[in-house]
Amino acid sequence: MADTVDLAALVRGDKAAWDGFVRRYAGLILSAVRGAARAGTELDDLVQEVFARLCKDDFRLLKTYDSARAGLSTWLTIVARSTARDIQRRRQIGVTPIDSVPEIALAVTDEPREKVRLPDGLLSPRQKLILGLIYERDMEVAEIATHLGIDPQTVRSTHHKAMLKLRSHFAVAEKPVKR
Amino acid sequence: MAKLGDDEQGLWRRWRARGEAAAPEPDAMALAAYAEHRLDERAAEPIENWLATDPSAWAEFEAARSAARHEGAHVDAALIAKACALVADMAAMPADGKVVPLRRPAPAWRSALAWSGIAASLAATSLVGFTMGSDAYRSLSRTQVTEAMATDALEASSTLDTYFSDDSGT
Repeated sequence: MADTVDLAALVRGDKAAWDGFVRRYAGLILSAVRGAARAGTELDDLVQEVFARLCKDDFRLLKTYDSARAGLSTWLTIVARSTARDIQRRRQIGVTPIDSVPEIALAVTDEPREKVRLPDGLLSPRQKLILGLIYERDMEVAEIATHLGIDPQTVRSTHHKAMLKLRSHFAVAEKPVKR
Repeated sequence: MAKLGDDEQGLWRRWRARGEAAAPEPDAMALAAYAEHRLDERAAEPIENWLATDPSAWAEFEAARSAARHEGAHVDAALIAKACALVADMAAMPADGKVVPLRRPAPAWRSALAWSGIAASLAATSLVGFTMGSDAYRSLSRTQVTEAMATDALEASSTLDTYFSDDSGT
């Protein structure tokens, strides 16, 4: 979707620019919040809330948009979904009776906690993300490369380096203590 | 990817099992830049940390990115009109820039009436308080007078007793 909006006029409070902006992006915002909305949520209210947030306090949020960093459509969908989630989180607080929560959600996980102290910075954020995508989301290397916008070879080498680090640390931690 | 060994998956699970607090959600601008692959690895670190540590982050991020690629849904004219109305038409405002107040100023008599009401309630409260205080004082002082008279009578009789007893002795 081409982003053709006079942003300067928009944040100045130009009515025509605002109306054009609403007509241009209402559909996109509706699509974005539809994916984030739970059943029974009024989609129109969510869309209205997104627009209200954009123009609130003299267009404070809209002024944070920087066209040099990302496209307006991408930014708007992220803002729209984030707004929808915030609203639903707010509405949900304190209204869910405990009896309606499935038992599984209240169960304490018996997943064993690692006793070995591992340094927080052992794996880089990218290494953690790639390992998570491979082992938890069962994604292929090529798919990960596309999603992250990097070369498949980079994914492989990142995975390899992360595994070396994990092996080395767990090996050290499990070395038997000499008496 | 070639099938990964069980031990590699096991290592990852052990790492995961240590439990790591979810990183804070980055701001929308940084996320949008990341979604369009405009960040280098260093700048992407906080976003990738959030994506790696928050279990719902990846799905949310992917959904937003995919929504941005599609044409928008059809929107009702009423919804568009409502959103357009969020921004007032400056051209329709008076040329001198005077803003019409939304609340009508209250008439002077209403203010006077309100102050009179406050004054009257204060006066009534004072009167009731004074009356109650006076009654209490009056009943208290009456009791004290009765008690004083009774004490005087008793004292007088004891003086007579002494007098008579002294007298009988002589």
